[in-house]
Order: sequence, then C-alpha cells, then structure tokens
Amino acid sequence: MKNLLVQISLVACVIFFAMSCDDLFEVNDLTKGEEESFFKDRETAEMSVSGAYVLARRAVMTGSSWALYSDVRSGLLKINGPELEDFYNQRLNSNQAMFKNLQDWERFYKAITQCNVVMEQVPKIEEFIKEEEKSRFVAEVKFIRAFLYFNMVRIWGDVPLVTNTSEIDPLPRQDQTEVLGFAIKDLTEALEVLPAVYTTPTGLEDKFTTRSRASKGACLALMAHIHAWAGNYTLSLEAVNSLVALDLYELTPVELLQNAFEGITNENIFGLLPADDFNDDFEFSTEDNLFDQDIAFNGKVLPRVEGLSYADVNALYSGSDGRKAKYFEVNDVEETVRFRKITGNSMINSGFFRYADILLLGAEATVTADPATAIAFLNQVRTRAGLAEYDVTVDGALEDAILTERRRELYAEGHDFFDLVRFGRVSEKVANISPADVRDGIILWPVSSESFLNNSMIVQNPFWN
Amino acid sequence: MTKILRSKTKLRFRLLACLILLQCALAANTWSIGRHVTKIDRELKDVAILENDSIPESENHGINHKIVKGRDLQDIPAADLENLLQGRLSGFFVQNWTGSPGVQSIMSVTSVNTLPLNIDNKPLILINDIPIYLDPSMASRINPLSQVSPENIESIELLNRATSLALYGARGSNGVIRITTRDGSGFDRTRISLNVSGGVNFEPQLRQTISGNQERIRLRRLYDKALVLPGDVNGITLPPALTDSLNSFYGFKSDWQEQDYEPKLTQNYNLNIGNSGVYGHYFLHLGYYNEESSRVDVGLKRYNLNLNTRYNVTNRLFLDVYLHAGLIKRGNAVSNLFSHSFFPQNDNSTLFPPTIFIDDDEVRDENTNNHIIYSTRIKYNLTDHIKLKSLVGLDYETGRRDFFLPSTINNGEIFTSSFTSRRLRIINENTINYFRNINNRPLNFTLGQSIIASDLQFTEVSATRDGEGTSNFVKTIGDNFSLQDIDAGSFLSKNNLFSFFADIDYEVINGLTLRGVVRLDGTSKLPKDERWGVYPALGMDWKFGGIDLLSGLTWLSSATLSADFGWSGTLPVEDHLWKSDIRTVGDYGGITGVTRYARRNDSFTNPKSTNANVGLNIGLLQNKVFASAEYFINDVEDYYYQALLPNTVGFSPEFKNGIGMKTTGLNFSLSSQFKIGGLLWHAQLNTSIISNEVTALPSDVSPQYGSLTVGKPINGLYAFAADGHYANDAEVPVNPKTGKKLSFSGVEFTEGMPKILDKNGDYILDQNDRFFVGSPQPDFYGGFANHFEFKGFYLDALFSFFYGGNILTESVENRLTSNMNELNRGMFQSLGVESNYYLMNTDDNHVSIQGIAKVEEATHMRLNNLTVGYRLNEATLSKLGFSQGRIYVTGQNLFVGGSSYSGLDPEENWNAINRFDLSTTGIPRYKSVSLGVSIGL
Repeated sequence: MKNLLVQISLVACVIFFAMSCDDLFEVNDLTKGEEESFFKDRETAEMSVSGAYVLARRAVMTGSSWALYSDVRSGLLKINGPELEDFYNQRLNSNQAMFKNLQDWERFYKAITQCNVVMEQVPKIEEFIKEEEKSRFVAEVKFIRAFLYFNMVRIWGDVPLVTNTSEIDPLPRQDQTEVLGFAIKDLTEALEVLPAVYTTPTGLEDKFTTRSRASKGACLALMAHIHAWAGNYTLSLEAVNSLVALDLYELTPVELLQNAFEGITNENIFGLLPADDFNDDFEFSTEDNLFDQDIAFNGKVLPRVEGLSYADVNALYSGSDGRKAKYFEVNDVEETVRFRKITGNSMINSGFFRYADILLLGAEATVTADPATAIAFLNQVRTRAGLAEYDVTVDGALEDAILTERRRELYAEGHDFFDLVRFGRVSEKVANISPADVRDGIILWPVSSESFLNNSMIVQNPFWN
Repeated sequence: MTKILRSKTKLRFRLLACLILLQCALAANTWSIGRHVTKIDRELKDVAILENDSIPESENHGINHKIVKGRDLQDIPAADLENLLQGRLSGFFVQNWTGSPGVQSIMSVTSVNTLPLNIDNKPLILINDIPIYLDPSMASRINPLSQVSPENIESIELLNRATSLALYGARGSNGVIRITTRDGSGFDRTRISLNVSGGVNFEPQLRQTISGNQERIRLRRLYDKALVLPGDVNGITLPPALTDSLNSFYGFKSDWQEQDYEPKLTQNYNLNIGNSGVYGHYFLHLGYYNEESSRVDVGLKRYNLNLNTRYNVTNRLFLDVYLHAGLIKRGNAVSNLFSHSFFPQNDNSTLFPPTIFIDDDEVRDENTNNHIIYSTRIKYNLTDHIKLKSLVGLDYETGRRDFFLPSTINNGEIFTSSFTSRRLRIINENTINYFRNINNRPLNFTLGQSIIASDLQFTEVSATRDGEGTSNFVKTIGDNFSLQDIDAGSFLSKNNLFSFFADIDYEVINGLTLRGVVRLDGTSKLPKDERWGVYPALGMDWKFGGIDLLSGLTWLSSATLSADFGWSGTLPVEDHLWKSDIRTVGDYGGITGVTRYARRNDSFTNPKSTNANVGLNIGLLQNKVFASAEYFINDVEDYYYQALLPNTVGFSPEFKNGIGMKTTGLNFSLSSQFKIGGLLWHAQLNTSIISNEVTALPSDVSPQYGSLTVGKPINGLYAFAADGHYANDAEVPVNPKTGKKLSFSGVEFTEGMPKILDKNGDYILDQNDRFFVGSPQPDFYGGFANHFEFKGFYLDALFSFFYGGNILTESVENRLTSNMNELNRGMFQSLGVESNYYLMNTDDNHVSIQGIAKVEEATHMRLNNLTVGYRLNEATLSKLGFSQGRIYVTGQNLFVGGSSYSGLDPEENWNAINRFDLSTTGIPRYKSVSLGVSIGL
C-alpha cells in the first residue's frame, strides 16, 4: 500500500507539474516573427524603419512607375512595347499588366501600414534605445507617410486615409485637401525632430545617409510641393525659403550634373536608394526597372523607354544648354539622340527632390506676387545650365519660361505630368487629352478593381466610371 | 531573441524529459515491486481474470458494423490501409483517386469531400492509442497509413458517436478511427506463421490514342484555329519533335502509352511469431511488401517490424511495450509531377504523347520515410475495482526526397532538390479507472489526463541552372553556380495539447445505460483566452429487446436504441494561425527591412461542432441477422477562413472564425450469418446517405473559398452558363449606362467568344454569375462484403458502390486562353465546339475560358477484392509438422461497372474536375491478381 501511495503521488506530480507549467502553451513558432516580442531595441526599431523605406521604394519605384505616371504619360518619354498604344491614347483603364499595377494603390498602403506600425510600436520600446532615436525614427516614417499620401493624391485624388493599424474596416475615400492637410501636419511635426544632416558615429557629416533618408531639407521640399499642389503658394514659398536658409544645398556645375542623377552631390535633397537584387525578395524584384533593360520588340532590340526625338531635343534645349549633352547622347551627323540621363544603376534612380526643382518651385510660387524674385530663382537654374538670363522678349511670358525650364531641367525625373497639372497646361501639352477630358477628370487615374473588393465605400473616379 | 527561444525550447525539453523520467521511475518502481512480492500468483487464469483488458472506450456494444477485423484484411496486398476500408467500414468514406501506391486517398467520416477545406476534415487516427500524424510527409509525400501492414492488424474501429467524439475533445469532430495491432494473448504455445504472396499488376485500361494521318489532321486543325505558334497549342508547350507520335523517339509504337505502362509484380512476405504464458505474451511481425505499379517508375516498398509485448509483473501489474519500426520507399513518375501534359480528346482518345518522357536512369526521384511508433504502458490493478494506467508513446517519422531532373527534359535546365522532414509526437496519458457493480449493474468511471507534444520541421534546398556546353545532359553543378539559382527553406513548428477527461457510464435500470463524457482541452495552437475548450456529451443505450411488450415477437432477438448529444472540436492542422508575423522585405542602405506580414487575432478559436446521433441495432432470427441504422448530425460553427480585407489595410488577411457547415447522415448496415448444409455465408451490406451544406458564410470570406454558398453543399461545382458564341462584336451586350461591353476580369467579350450568361445583369461576369451545376458528393455510398465457406474452400468478395456525385469534364476543343497583353487581337476563337457551361479563370497575364464538355455522374460499382482460398486439411498438415495452412488467389479492382463516366475511373479526379490536361487526375488504377500461401507452425 505504501508503494501504491508513492505511485499515486508520482502520477499526481506529473499532473500538477504539467498544470502549473504555463510555458506548455507558450510555444514559439520559428516560422513566424511575432510582432509582440519583436520590438525590443534600437536594432529592431531601425529594421522596421528600413522596412518602411523598402516598401515606399516598392510603392513609387516598382516597374519605374514614377516615370510612367509622369513623363511617359505626358509624352516626354516613350515606352516601347505593347503598352505604347494605350499610353498614347490615354487608355489608363487598360487591362495590360503594367496598367493594372499602376491602377492599384495597395502597394502604397503596404508602405503606409508599415509607417503606422513603426509609429505605434517604436515608442513602446523601453530599453536599449535612446529617446531621441525613437523620436527620430517616428519622424522619419511620418515623412515617408506624407510622401506616400502626396503621391497618391496626385495619382488618384481622394484616397482612403489610413492613420493607424488597429482599424481594418473598409474606409471611404477622403477629400484630398484633408489628406494633404494630414500630410502637412505630419511633416510639421517631423521637421522639428529630423536632423538637417546625418552624422557618422565619429561625428562627421554622412552625406549619403542625409540624401537617402528623411531630413529637414526633405521635409521642407515635400512641404513646398504639397502646398504648391494645393495652390497655396504663400506657404510653398515659405517652405522654399526655409530650405534655402538651411544653407546646405547648392547647384552642381553643369559639367558634373551626371553626379546629381546618381544622388551624390550637394544638389540632392532626397531620393530613395535602389533595391539590391540579391537581398530583395523575388516578388518585387527590380527587373522591371524600365531604365535598365533592353527588350526584343518586333524583332529589334530596343530600350524599354526612349527619350525625345532628335528634333524635339533640339527644340527644347538650345545650343548653349549644357544639359543637352548630359541628358542625351546627341549624334548631329546621323541626327539621332540616345537618352542617357537615368540608367538602371543610378545610385538614386530619380532625384525625387533636388535643389534645382525647389528653386523653380520658388519661381513658380512668386510668379504673380513677386516676379522679380521669381526671375531671380529662375535665373539661378538658367545660369547653371549655361543659358542667358531670362528675357521676356526671347523667352516669352515668365510663367511659360518657368514651365519650360522645369520641363527641360527636370526631364524624366517624375515631375512633368504633375507640373502640367499645376500649371493647368495638360490639354495643351499632352496629346489626346482635350480640355473637356480635363474637365471630366482624365487627370486622375482609375481605381483598380481590387480596391472595390470587400470595400463598398470606394467610388470610381468619374472619368473612368 | 534566439536566446529566449532557446531557453523556452530547453524548458520544453526539460518538461518532456521530466515526464519520461517520471514514467521510467514508475516503471522501475513497479518492476521492483514485482520482484519482491513474495506470493506471486503465476496462475495464468488469475491473470486473465484480473486483467480485464477489453477496450473500455469502445462504444460498440455487441456486434457492430463499425469494426473491421484484421483477419479480413491480412491476405490482401495493399499499400494504403484506407483503401482496404473502402466499402468495408460502415460510415467511412474513401475515394481512391490514383493508382500510385503510397499516395493518400480522400477520406472522411462525418462529411464527404469537403475540398478545399479538406485538409482539416480527415478523422483522427490512433494506432494503439497513439494519435499519428495523418497528413503525408512534406518531403516524401508518403501516406502515413501505408506504414501499417494489414497482416499486423487486430481490428479497426470507427468511433463516430457524440460521446466518443467528445472524449477526443478538440480533435474529435471529424470522427476517430482506432487501429489495434495484433498481440499474442490468445496463443496457447509458440506459433510461427508465414504468409507469402506474389502477383501481377496488369496494364490498366488506357486512353485511346490517335496516330498517323488522323493525328496530323487534328493537329493541323488546332494550329489553324487556335492561331498559336507551333509547339504551343493553347498554352500547352510541345517540343516540335514530339508533336507527331509516330517518330523514332517512341520506338515507332502506334500507342506511345505502351512505353509508360507494363505489367509489373507485387510481392508480400509476412512472418509472425507469437506466444503467451504466465509471464505475459508477445507478438512479433516482420513484413516486406513491394508493389511495382504498372506505371513505369511508380511503386512502393515497405519494410516493417512490429513487436507487441506484455509482461505480467505480478497478477496486478502489467507492462506493455509496443514498437513499430518501418521503412518505406516510394517511386514516383516524374511525368506525373508536371501533370500528364498530353492532350486528350473529347471522344476520350488522346491526341498527343506526353511532353515529358523519360528513362528511369536519367531521373532520380527517391522518396523515403522512416517511421517509429513506440509505446510503453503500465497497468496496475490497485484493487479489484481500481485500475491505474500510464502510457508514454511516440510517433516519429523522417521523410526524405532526393530529386534530380536532367536538362534533357526540363527545358534545358537542370533541377535538383533535397528535401527532408521530421515529425515527432510524444504522448503521455494517465488514467484511473473505477469499476464496480452496484445493485448488480455495472458502473464504470475513468478519469484521465494527457499531454501531447507535437513537433514538425522540414528543410528544403533546390537549385536550377542551365545545362552546360553542348552536352544536353549535365549531372553536376558547375563552379560558377550563383546564389540566385538556389532556393532554400526551413520550417519548424511545435504545439502542445494538454487535457483532462472523465468518462462515466452506469446501467441505471436494467437495460438502460447512461454515459457521460467530458473533456477539457488546452492547446498552444490557440490564443490565450481561447486556449481551453470544454467538450461534454451525454449518451444512452437502451437494450429493449427483452421487455415484455416485445416478448411476442419471436423473430426479434435483441434490440438496442442509442442516442447521444454533445460537442467536439476541429483543431486546425496548422499551428498558430492566429499569431502575428513579421517578415523581412529587403534592404535599405545596408539595413535589413522588416514589415508586418500578418496581424495577431486574439479571438481565433477552435471551431466547435455540435454532434447528435440516434441509432437502432436489432438482432433478428436468433441473432443471425443484424440490422443497424444510425442518424447523425454534425453541425460545425465558427469554422475558420481567411478574411478578405480591403486593400487599404496593407497586410495579409487574417484567419477568422465564422463559416458554418452542417452534415447530416444516415448510416445503415445489415449483416447476416447463415449456414446451409456445409455452406457458411457471412454477408454485410452497408450504406451511408450523407448530405452537407454551408449554413453560415461571413461576407468577408476570401474568393479562394469561391465554391461556398449558404444552403448548398460544401465544395459544390459552379460554372458559367452559355448559349452559343458571338458571331460578331455587335452581338456583345453593352451596358447602357457606361457604354462598356460585357467583360470578365476587365476583358471585354468579342466575336468568337461564348455567349456567357450575365446572371445578375451588371455586365461584369464574376463568380456571382456562376450556377451551381453539381456536387462531387455521392447521394449514397457503401459496400457489400461476402464471405463463403464450404469444406475448406472459402471465397471473399467485397463490392463498393458510389451513387450520384458529379464530375465536370473539361472540353479539349473548346478551350480559349490568352495572354492579357494580346487580348482583343483575335486570340479568342472557338474551335467550333459548343459548351453549355464554362469555367473562367484569370491571373496576371492570362485569361482562360474553358468549356465544360459535360457534367457527368460518378455513379459506379467496383469489385474491390475477390479472394478464393483453400484451407489445407489439418490432419495432413500436422503430419508435416504444420498446424495450419492455406493457399489463396486474390484479385483487386477486377471490375468497375455501372459507370457512364467518360474518363477511365470515376474516382480518378481528386477535385471532381476532369481537367483537359488531366492535371487533377490520378494515374489509372490497375487490376492485380496475386497467389499466396500461408503456413503456420
């Protein structure tokens, strides 16, 4: 009987040992990185911010969409391939894979969600991170989120405003002024916190990081753009002036302009680093980079995108314009040009914001209120290019001169179509768009059919309805 | 992070180690008691009396149709155990869709063919109380049930009553099958028996082929009408050399299929040794089974060892050890991997030869499983009324696949892959049982606790590269192999299940037994607040055959009415569906980026099912005929699904609960035993009439579950209806509001495309415009088993039948597919064949409009097994030193009849769609005949 009691107690031991062990249920699944235990130090916070940059890059750069939305649509770049016809005819609701990708805003929301995750999780980290680093990381993703919303508003107009990750119910499209207002608020907060320049651990200025991550300059440039898009040129000018006052940026001599496209001059304010094929996953590999690839089309090998023709180049750039030779390989004997401004392996594929862009934005902001200032801004860019100063008799109306300058200075940098929208010149400059089309809303892209799934509140843009 | 993980893993191991140690201590302890007990009663009869080793959990009182005895299975050569149960085990649905041994069939107990949700629909299978992993190994894809040697089976029992389901709690809802292996308990002396058989697997009936001029005429027509490049007929790539089957590549054979099929052999060797005595008993089974399928390269080899022992330590203390060790090798036909890739015609003939035709030597596809099931069980009879039982067991399996494809067959590229998997499940179960007669009526009470720890992992590395140089067959991978071509993955997942259970039954008045069961299950598979589930059930059995009212009915020998009501659950197979997930996305400025991939769902719960059943068992004519009818309801609520989120959410859809499914069924069986003169006839007929339907469907169910509609069967077949083709573009309907033409997935219809009916009139064809055209579920299914004996001769015949159920057969000549970029450029053209129904699909680059040739019935009847044998005269045998012996001839799958199906076998499509390229169709099942001899010492 004694032995029996021993046995019973042993069995009971097993039971109680197991019962008391709550760890029995805390089984780690090594196939999943659990969010609740992930955010715990500076390193993980930095990785999540890095994720936000990667996803933002996918949003604006997958398949070189930044170029397709702007310069290809406005006709400054020509796409070789089956999409040519639909682009030329402004059939943006085409079913071709490239258009379906362009219509869909999901990739933007993936990036926005990651920004929201960082904003919610990083401040909760208590150890192994400095307070100022936490606030800097949050400010960085605020900039990224504002940058994404600004791009979305330019593409689709009203868009759903997702500001946190807890709400997953369907959202309606929010009035774009509200979305832009939200972006400005984010930027104003980020501006307080972000550094003007990043420094290396040894305290030296880290120019590479400064130009590829959110900084004060990047914030101001984005604010200037957002205000200009909203038509508030007073505030836009304010942002331009603040940026100039930072005294960090300068125009690169025209001989070295190629460096600005690679993102390594004092002219660059902000751009996104290209993806590294080997580390990025396959789903969004950069093989779609239109500037990287030669394709066989109709039996001939052609680049996927082409620039302007020989005649158009000469019409846009005068003989003394130093930019012509930097942007194109011009063969005056055979009368051919080859576009070379942007290549697939540019360090920063597209200078999203560079100083020349901001100076011209300053000119645009003051063109009616203060033409003298506008001319001063404009002449900085003209002089650098090797052009004579603005002369109304040669260059026409100031506003026209500014637009022309933007078109040739910022050629193939993802600005052109949106510049035309701001200047109200779309129907004038873009083939197959009539003033009536503009009135009906052709400027905005159609919303993809996927966006309507499980979201009955989404309405299509009127032109594409 | 790794540190935390490591420490938790350590803790878990410590815990398990601790449990095992405790049990060892218990074992050692009992062993020592056994040695020091002075008066050891070594009388066998006492042992037998006290031991009372009947299966207390059995729900099947008296004769029952839900038990299959091993002796009915042992002579049948079979690779997969479930196929032996088709038609034999009442209430168990099996669809054997392929002639490839070692590939699992579709099986279910409580509902039928619920794809795409099928993964969690399989029953819980226990071998000697160890719950085994039932899904095929990830690496080798070998069916775990092919480990079980039919020769080694004592019985297989189906548990589907609500009380039994509740006893298995969170895992019980899909039904439970208990497999018990043989032991030596009945042996009066050492018995050795050898059972050897060998047989032929015949070439199956094959698809008709067309060759020569006919083939060229048809090819020409396809090329002309489909407007495709040579070698690419409607998206099917054909190497030009193969587009005419009458060339040297096929040895100038008129039917290229003959290259792929030929008669092959099956061998089956079984050696059993057993004994019992005062010490206990043992049974050793050694088996070797080798089935070479008639499909070249396909086959299965099984080597296994089973040892089942009992040591009677004292007359109160018993120690059982069970060990199963097995090795399985499965051969695979590579051409089968890439679907059949040939081009069958509507008239059931095949036009083109397969694109991939390979020699055994050039391809390596080795699939191997090692499998161990082990258990020790200590039983201690504390008093005559109290019994203690402690079980420690494990189910351990490693799977491996080595795969190599030469460049000659893989578009000029070498493909090589190595894949290993490991699964380990440890169970510790302790019960205390109290048994007593109160007022001469038995009371049985069991209280128990168990821990089941499961651990699953796999690693895969694969690589592709171009074949080098001029050689078109390069086996090695060169030095300049780059990282880009390699794909590697590893997976590790664990879960624990911790349970308490109680089971009480008592005969409250004479003839009426009530049973109450409750199980409390806690699992790491679910979030904290949903972790524990309670599954109670109540049942009763009323033996009313003896009551006065019925005394006049002399033909009624016994009658039992039973009824149960209770709850059980369907734990997801996949661990941690509810957990959040962070994944890397790439790299920014040298810093790895991560993103939220999935959000945590803290309210994810175990789908709960409500079970009820009413049954009647009657014995007639002095129990010569038994009839049983059982009606059941299995009502599952909160089944899980992946929610469709608005695309503004930015992370993966999460798993939620909310789908409702209800299955109702009637299992009916009739068995009889007659002796007419010297002829003995046992017959058993069983049939199940089962229907299921979706009862609740949340609005945000992702389109991947497109085949679910409330009120319709689970996995109904849906298709678009059409009436002819558009003769010109002007016929295509135009939405008067938008001016847009009728479209599917953005593709506008044009001339030549089918006139597909726009059911809801919104000018956009989507899944809402589909019609329910049928259900893969049979209206009823079942089997008819016969056993005759006459003067030493015996004959077994098992028929299975399957009535109703639909198959969609895709049309070959009415298949339109196109690259998105080429749309509206005349690519969609009919080949002049009309279909009433269409399937339409789209992905990023293609749209396909697939005509359905016909919606067919899967009704058929099959002679699964026919065995004729002769038991040798015992007197003659004993002179030779043998105690028993028999010879037999057994044939499998000899006859399929009553079928109007246009393909080869009505069971051959695993998703009830007979694809134009046979990509969801198994390789043909074949007939086989074996001759066997069994002798025993």
